[in-house]
Amino acid sequence: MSLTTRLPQTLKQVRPVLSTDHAEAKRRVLNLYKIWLRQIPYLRVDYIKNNWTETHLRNVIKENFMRNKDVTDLRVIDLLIVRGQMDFVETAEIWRQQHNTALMDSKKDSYKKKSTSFLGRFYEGH
Amino acid sequence: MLKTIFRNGCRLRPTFNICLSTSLSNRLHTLSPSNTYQNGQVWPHVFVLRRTSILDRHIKDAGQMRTPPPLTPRDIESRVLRICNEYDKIQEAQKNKIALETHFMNDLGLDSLDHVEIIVALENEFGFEIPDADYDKLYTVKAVVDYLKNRMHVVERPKPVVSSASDPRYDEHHH
Repeated sequence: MSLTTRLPQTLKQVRPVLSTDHAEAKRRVLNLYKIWLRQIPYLRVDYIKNNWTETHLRNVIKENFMRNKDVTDLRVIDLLIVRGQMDFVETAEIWRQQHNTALMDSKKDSYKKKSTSFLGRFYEGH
Repeated sequence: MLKTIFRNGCRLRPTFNICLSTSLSNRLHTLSPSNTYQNGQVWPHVFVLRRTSILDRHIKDAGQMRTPPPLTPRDIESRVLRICNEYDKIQEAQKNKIALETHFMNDLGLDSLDHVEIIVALENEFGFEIPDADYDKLYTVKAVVDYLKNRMHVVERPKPVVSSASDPRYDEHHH
């Protein structure tokens, strides 16, 4: 008789961070996306030195959301939502630095690519 | 002929030298289909001050009580289709084929985030907020149009709105 079989049912579920099921988490994510979208014209004005266009900002926001699309763990999703909302508040209240251009840059070019050739992988250690 | 004179000449200058009959000026004031140009365009339109006689200038006008043009279902459809066509995530090939029965996710290949974007654009266009609970009702264009019709109380044949602004009998009290 191991410990897991003798545990009562209430202890087998993990305490949720924010949402109890995936539908509620999805609603929260869509809400977060919506408020980021609505903030775009204000972002363009507040951080006017960067000359962001609306399409550029939309692509960046979409990319940031899509980067985490494969997460299935509910609590991780909730923490990502919380972090996204914190970022939103910081951006909206202009607590960030306005000259920080990399804030809304597309991060696709800065990822280190996995090398595909045999020698490349050999040098990296695989 | 008088129309061409007004088109080339005075815009909002006080008209001291033109003696207009009040009926003509009243007709010119309202933007009705008969007062637009031949091809249906409305701008540039020429305004002439209604109270042209100097003795009447002390009477305040009711102002141009411009009511917005009444909304028809076809109007809503065209606006929704225009927004869908302007959305850059949809491929060019599918853009002109968007019909009433187009499903955003199945036919156009968008995902839920793009769906949110479209709904935010619709909110900006029509001016009112769509609550989160209604998001999963609005997956096809037809559903969007019906929802907007319900929310904006659009009737099939809207009655023309009569505004009493141009009638001098209502200068003392406004309706």
